[in-house]
Amino acid sequence: MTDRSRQERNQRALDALIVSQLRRHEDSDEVDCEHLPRLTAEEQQALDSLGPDFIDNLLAGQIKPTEDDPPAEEDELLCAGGTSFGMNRAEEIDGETAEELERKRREIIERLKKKDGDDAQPSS
Amino acid sequence: MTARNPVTEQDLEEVFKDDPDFGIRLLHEDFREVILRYIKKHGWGLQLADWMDIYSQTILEMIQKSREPGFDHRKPLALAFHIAKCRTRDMLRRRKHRANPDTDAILDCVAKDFSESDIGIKLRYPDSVVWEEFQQNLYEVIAALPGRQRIVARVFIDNYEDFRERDTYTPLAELVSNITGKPESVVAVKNAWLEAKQKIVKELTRRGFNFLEAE
Repeated sequence: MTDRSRQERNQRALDALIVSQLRRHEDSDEVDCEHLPRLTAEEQQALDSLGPDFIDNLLAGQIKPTEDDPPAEEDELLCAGGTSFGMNRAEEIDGETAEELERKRREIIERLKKKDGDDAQPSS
Repeated sequence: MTARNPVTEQDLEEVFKDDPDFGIRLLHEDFREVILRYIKKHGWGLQLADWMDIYSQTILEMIQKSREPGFDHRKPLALAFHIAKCRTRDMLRRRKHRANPDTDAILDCVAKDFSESDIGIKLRYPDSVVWEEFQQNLYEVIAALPGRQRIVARVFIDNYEDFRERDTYTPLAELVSNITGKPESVVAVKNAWLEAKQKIVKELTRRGFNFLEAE
């Protein structure tokens, strides 16, 4: 190989390596959560800035996902069940504060843990 | 699940069974990070604002589904991932990306291009490459590229087999132009990809994947 062709071959191999990693087919629905790309500080901040009222705001229509152009018809068939943006059930949601949310969360986790403990007890 | 989450997927399933509305809140509180990481993986090439939009769509659709009669409470996180993947695909199409998932089409090209390169030779003896970690880092590095280089990278990778066969960057420039909405020269687009690739190699090498640089 000449140096030039060697360089070209290495560039092509690099392309191939990157493409083979990013076009890797996922056969199963199992998600390897450990190896998902990590978030940067900026991305984490954007997520945290949604705040504890995110769900209420979403339901109240104060946060609206954009829908600038509808997806192609074939996409609709591939992923049936797109979001209905007309939904608004804010009146059915009570005014839970973040504190209440956390309290209820702790209660449920405790209950689940207790249930697990009871289930593990041998029956006499 | 990551160590950060005190709530397991099984706990989440139990909560969805008893109280789907609270299940949604718990999903957002304890699993939002892993869902966004999943969106980042599948939506590479998009912007953070797009990922956040997809996240909102995912939660809205979870609410909608959880209130349907006969909602199956099992594996709610898997359902959230599925919805996120579909909405990410929609967003990529809206942004005029091809989002090509065809792996079979590239196998022969990849094998051939590896076979006689220095990288290919190094990879015959991959004593320490954990491919899951390599892939994770690659997604992180490519997501951090400047916007234009990210678009060019996405187009290149989605259409790799076409460009490689024809050995020309002309169609790459046309496709990038279609996305950016302005004329793109072949030279500028080629340079953008080469610069992007250089940055990817440099950063991955810095992170310890030192088989990428040719001697």
